[in-house]
Amino acid sequence: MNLYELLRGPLLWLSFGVFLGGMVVRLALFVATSRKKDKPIYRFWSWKWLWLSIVHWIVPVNVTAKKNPIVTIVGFLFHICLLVTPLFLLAHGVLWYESWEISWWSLSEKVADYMTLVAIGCGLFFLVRRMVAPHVRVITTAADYVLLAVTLAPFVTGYLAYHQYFDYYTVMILHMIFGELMLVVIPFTKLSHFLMFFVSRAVTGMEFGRRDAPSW
Amino acid sequence: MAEKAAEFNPEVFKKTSDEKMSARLKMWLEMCAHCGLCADTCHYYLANEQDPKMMPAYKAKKVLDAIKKKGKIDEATLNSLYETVYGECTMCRRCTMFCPFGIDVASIISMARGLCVSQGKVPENLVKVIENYFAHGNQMALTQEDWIETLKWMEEELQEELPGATIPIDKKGANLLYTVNAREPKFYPMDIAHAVRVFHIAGEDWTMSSKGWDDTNLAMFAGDLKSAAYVSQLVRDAAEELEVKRVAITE
Amino acid sequence: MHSVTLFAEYLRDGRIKLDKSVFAKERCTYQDPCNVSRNGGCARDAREIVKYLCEDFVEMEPHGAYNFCCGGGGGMIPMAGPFRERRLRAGKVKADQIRATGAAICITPCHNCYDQIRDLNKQYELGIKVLSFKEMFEHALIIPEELKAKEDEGEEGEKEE
Repeated sequence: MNLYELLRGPLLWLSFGVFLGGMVVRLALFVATSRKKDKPIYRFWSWKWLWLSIVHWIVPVNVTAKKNPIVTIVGFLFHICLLVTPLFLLAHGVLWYESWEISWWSLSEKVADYMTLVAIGCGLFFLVRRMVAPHVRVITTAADYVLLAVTLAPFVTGYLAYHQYFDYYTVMILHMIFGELMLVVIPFTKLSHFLMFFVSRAVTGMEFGRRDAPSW
Repeated sequence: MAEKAAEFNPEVFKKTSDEKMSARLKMWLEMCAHCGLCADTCHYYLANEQDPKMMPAYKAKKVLDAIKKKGKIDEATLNSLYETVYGECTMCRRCTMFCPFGIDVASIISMARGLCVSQGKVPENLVKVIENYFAHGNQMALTQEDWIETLKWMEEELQEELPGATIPIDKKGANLLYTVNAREPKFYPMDIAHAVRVFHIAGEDWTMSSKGWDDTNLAMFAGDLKSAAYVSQLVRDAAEELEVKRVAITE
Repeated sequence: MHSVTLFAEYLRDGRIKLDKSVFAKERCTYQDPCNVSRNGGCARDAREIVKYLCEDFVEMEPHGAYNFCCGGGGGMIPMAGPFRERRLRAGKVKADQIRATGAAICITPCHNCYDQIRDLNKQYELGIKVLSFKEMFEHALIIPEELKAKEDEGEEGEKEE
């Protein structure tokens, strides 16, 4: 088994396993601890405030979006490209089909290419903002830079691989390593916010809601 | 009595932070993306020439950093934490409304105040006030006689204008129990008279309690949740004893 | 329940009546206390009372649940001592907000806000009156004839007309 096959086979499944398993454990831990220590969540449970809170932030209709339009636009573009590009990339779809004979809609190669550039561009914007703006720099830790790099690395290598810059095989191997690395670190870092966002928004939405105040 | 605070003790610090670490607090402390959008939602940040160290996320990070040390903190760190959580946040929760994740920084600060309580680091005046609650049932250390006397005085004052106005004390089964901030009998007694006027004119079936009449809870602000539970129980007991339907708190 | 909600209820049900002319000449604004408006959900009730009480009412920006803390919350007032100076500095935001409304009266239904804004009034020379609803009611409440003391009749009666 060569390196490619290793990354395409066992290591890929391992990273999917760690990613999914890790997130399940995280959620389970939250539920278990909160049942004991966060009783107000359950006492004041309200689907209405839960959904209102999530919806107002999953689409940018909130006070922060109004106050910070640029960060909001860049942030939304970044997250959309981050999620959509890898899921609907034609080349990734082919891999799914090869393994499981399942397929779904995919982006045109050109659009995916632009979206990759947008993701990288937005990432760079956040990097610069982090280094330059005093109120962001003061709370920045090494982990923030590392996580940004971990997030952008699959996109940069993916872009290079598609355009066949440098040695294709090496770049592709790097792309796979970085992609799998990102999956693995998600449950253990604040990248887990892709899921915990919903939990946090829900509990805060209900907490404000029971006091009849909006949290958006 | 309010537990007399212990000396600086890293072990107690760790134990307290473990006890207080709820699922939400843990999630919020870990998930903050350090995006900085909370900065200009905070009046401390705006009033201090946009000092980044006044932004909510910085204060929350400071709490996390202290907790991460698992009790191995030095006294300087504790002092600096104390200054931040008591002196640079009013736990107003405005930043939470602007946080994309809805992180409740006020809860984080409140928890950190609790950590300071466990180390005997509480603003002197709050300690006194908490002792007052335990000794006298109100923050201003008013005795029951003082309280009743103030009410009688206000009643007389008001009767000059409204002859029928009375302050019913400990009236069982009243519709409404009215409680006040203990600063009122102490500094602003006329506030009580003003409220009585309203109740009298509205024809309310109301009462005031001879004990459990202070609706403030500064132990909660101090982060001393055990004492806070005791204080809130005082009013609850009064309401139950008098079998009132509703409890109103002062302005 | 908070007094603000109770007073709003009395007004709504017609159990008490207010004379709007008493404060007609003074511009009023309302300080939403964090624990009443944002964390207590009483922002709307307060606006309802204001409708019965003030002719010239100007909101601070922002207001309601989004209002800034006056700087006196979270135990800051009774902590006093070494915290006093920081409290007054943090109150600058509120002072600027009040000044921008051009109000002569700042209404607030919270003892912390009340004490803090009084201090801000001195510190930042706002030249305003800080009043609670109760205090405003002292002047604006219409007293039914049958409840009045006899010797007060003339004076109070004129006010009502």
